[in-house]
Amino acid sequence: MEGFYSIVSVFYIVARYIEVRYSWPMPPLSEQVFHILVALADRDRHGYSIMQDVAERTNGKIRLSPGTLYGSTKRMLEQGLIEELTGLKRPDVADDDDRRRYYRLTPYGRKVVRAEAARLAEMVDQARAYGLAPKRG
Amino acid sequence: MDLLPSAVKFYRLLLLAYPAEFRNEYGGQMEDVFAGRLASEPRLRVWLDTIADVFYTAPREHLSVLWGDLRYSAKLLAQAPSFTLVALLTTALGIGATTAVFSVMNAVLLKSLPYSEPERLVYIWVPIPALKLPGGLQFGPTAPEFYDLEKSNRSFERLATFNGESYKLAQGDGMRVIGGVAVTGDFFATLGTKPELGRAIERDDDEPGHDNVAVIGHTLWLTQFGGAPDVLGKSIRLNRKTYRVIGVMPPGFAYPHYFEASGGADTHTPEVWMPYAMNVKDRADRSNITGAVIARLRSGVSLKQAQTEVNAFLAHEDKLRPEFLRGGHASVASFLETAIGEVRKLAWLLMGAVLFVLLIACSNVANLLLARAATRVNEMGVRSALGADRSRLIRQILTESVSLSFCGGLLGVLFAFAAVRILVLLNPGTIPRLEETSVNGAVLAFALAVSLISGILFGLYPAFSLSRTSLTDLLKRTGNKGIAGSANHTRHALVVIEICLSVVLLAAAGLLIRSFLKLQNVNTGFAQSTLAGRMQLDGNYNNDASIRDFYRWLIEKTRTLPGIQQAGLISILPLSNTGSISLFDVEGYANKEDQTIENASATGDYFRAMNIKLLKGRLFDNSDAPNHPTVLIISEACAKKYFKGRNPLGGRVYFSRGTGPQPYSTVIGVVADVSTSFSLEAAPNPFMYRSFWQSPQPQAFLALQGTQTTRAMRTLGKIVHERDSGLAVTDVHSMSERKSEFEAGRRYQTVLLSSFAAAAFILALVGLYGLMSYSVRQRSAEIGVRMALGATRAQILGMVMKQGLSLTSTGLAIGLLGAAGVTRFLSSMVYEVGVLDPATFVAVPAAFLAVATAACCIPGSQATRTDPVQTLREQ
Repeated sequence: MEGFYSIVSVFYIVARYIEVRYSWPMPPLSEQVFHILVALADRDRHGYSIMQDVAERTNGKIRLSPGTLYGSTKRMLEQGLIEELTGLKRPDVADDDDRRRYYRLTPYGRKVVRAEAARLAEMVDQARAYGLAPKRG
Repeated sequence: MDLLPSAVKFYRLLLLAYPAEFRNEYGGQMEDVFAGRLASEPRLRVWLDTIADVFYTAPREHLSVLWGDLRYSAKLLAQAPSFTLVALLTTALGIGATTAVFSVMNAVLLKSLPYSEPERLVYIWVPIPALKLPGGLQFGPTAPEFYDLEKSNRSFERLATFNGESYKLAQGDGMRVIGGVAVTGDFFATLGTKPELGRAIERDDDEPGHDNVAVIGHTLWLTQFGGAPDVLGKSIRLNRKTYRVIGVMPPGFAYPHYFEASGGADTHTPEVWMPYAMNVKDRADRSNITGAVIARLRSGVSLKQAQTEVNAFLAHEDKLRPEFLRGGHASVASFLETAIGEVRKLAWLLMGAVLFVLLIACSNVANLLLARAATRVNEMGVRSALGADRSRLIRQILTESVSLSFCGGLLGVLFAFAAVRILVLLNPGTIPRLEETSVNGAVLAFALAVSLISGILFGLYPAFSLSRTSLTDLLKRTGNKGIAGSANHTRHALVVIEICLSVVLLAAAGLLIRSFLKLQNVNTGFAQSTLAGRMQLDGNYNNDASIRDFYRWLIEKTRTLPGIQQAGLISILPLSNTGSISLFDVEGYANKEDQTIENASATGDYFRAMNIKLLKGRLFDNSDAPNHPTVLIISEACAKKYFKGRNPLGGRVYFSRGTGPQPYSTVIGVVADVSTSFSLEAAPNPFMYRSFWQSPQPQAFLALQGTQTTRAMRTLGKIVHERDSGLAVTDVHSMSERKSEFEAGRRYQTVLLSSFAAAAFILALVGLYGLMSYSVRQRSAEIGVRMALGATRAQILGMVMKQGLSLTSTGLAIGLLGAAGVTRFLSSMVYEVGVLDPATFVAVPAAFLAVATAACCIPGSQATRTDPVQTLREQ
């Protein structure tokens, strides 16, 4: 029995090594998806609010059109990056419209957007080291 | 915020570009976002952004839905492997056959000819009423008319004449006979083609003394010169004359095909073109008739205008012709129609037949889908309950059927590759450019389109039928398996249609098969086993004595070879596409002016070698020497026509060429009719044979009968070449091979149409069997109850057979009516068989009924094995 467990353990260690060493990295997020996830990192929002937040944060450089916003929303829901808030989960806000649908960043979605932010920061640091990006401060 | 300004209403219209599902899910919010942006940003910018957004994201959403549907379809098809396999194979057969036939049409009819603006090319024919040429051949103008027309016309940019012949190409120590064409200087310029190397023949080359140049074909360049780039300036030796190569034609150029050239070339594809170089005397000779004249219309000139000018010109020239050449009316005929007119009929016949096969295949798959739809009612009901509207369900089911047809189409294209190779391999030699058939881009695009249309065709009804399922229907079906089983009228109708279409094809194929069998059984009048080879003496043998000496030597040599029982000579062999006609009068017959007859010079042993039956009198013998009274043997048809009611033996025939009568010839024998030189199907014409030794000809066929004829012919070829290096024995074939060549065209169309008819027959029977099996399963409860109530197995079998055979009979009846209407279009393609041939119209339905009975017996016998207890328990 001990021998059996040893073999299983070795097999598990080898499989995990292969998974970690050779697994495909998560592909970069598109600009629109990144900004939507950032908007939801702050708080739960509905679509129009997401659009406003992104426009404000980027000083009007990125203005999400409805097709892009909700197409991305649909895919993020399918991928589990965000979830829709229904019933009691809906935020209790004044002047709420029943037609509005609220979305929340999932833990997995938070992890993904953090990883993407770290990747972007690393790229900027590398560019900065070569004098291609402005220094901090 | 006021969310409904008119701009938002317009935006709502733009949202129709999105899939309905997406629109229903997010449409309201998208309007909110749009309205919000419109309120806070410049309007023009918002509209431009939004319209661009719709253009970009709407197709993406549709693709996302399509991808989802495709993945689901693949999963469903994988879960039903037998259904998928049968559907794929059926679709592949239909699409593959259609693609293969289209690839033939594309190469033969649709692909552009290798000439510049071929629609401006015309032939000029001038028939001679007194000389009815056998084999449908036509004449061009005389040489002086051609050159005068070339100088004085207003309708044509250029004219050219040409004459196809066999040429003996010297190769090492041996010789090979190739097809070649003598052309006037503007030949290539008229066609609008250029060589791939060097230059074409020009007017300066077309003069005696300057004519030792030649343009060779691409294949000859490869075989004779190894494709060497420095071929220009090299020599080839043809018919003892040396020519310098000045140009190489591109691959695929093979004009004129043998049926477009006169001169009786015994090979189909010309490989060399050289100048005609007519001398001054021949150009002025008003009895020198050209073989064919091709011309290019000037821009803006119509065929009718050219016809008017040519008519006026030749009306004047006719008076200058010798009397026996007068009276013809010129015709200016479209080159394209001449080249592909006959082939077009066959191509459309095959396309029609293969489309029938495709329709039957689609019906079969539609039936399979309908049967399968019954098992998906629950799925559709649940989807409908969860909010999928009808269009969404239709879209999904059509995606399944189109993806099935695309996969079948892929298999079908593989099948088409193989089928095209077979079609080209069976080339009868009478269809121009068939050898260029291939599965190219245009054919693949056609296959794609056919796959798409087929998928929609066979998926449409099942899609509409299944998408009607609602939650109410779903609830109603639960607990009720439909004891009586509902008659599926659509499936029955599809099977009846399949039977109709296959009966039409079977009837058409039956007529062609009967015609082909009649042709195969034609009494040719000669032995099939006789071997014949052709000899053509050239200018070195320019008198009767030298010709006679050569052929006497040849016959003597032949008689010394082992295994030869009979050896004879004839100048015009049956089924050899060569001909000779003479003007003649028969003493004691009401002769017409300028009457002509086909004739040949033959030895007495020729008739023995060919087993041609002597009916009266005697054959030629040694007493029929050159300085003796000239004698004739006539054919049975000739005796019936010109010696009706009297004994032809001793009759006198006068041959004249319009320059004064020659001495008469006396009829010494009557032989049985044989097939003509140009057609296996035409009834034998009256024919006269002169004694070869009294009337020697430079061209002669040597006919051998015996046990070692092939070896003997090979030996003779060597002996002849040793005696004279400029001579060769060519066109060596047995008479059965020659007959088979003449059957090739009819064989080709019969084999193809029969293949399609067989495919249609099998598909229709599979459809009928499938329907009956399904019906038995559907009615299993009813059958169980009947058996429980005392019905016998015979009664159950009878019930199933009655359903199957009534469908079959309905299909047969309508199909026979359809066949009677369609087969009338085959009247020009049948031989010795009426288009409503009773044998065919009885045999086809009888055979179909017999096989359909067997197809219905199997599910019928399965029904008799139903266990009523088990069945009722399952209810």
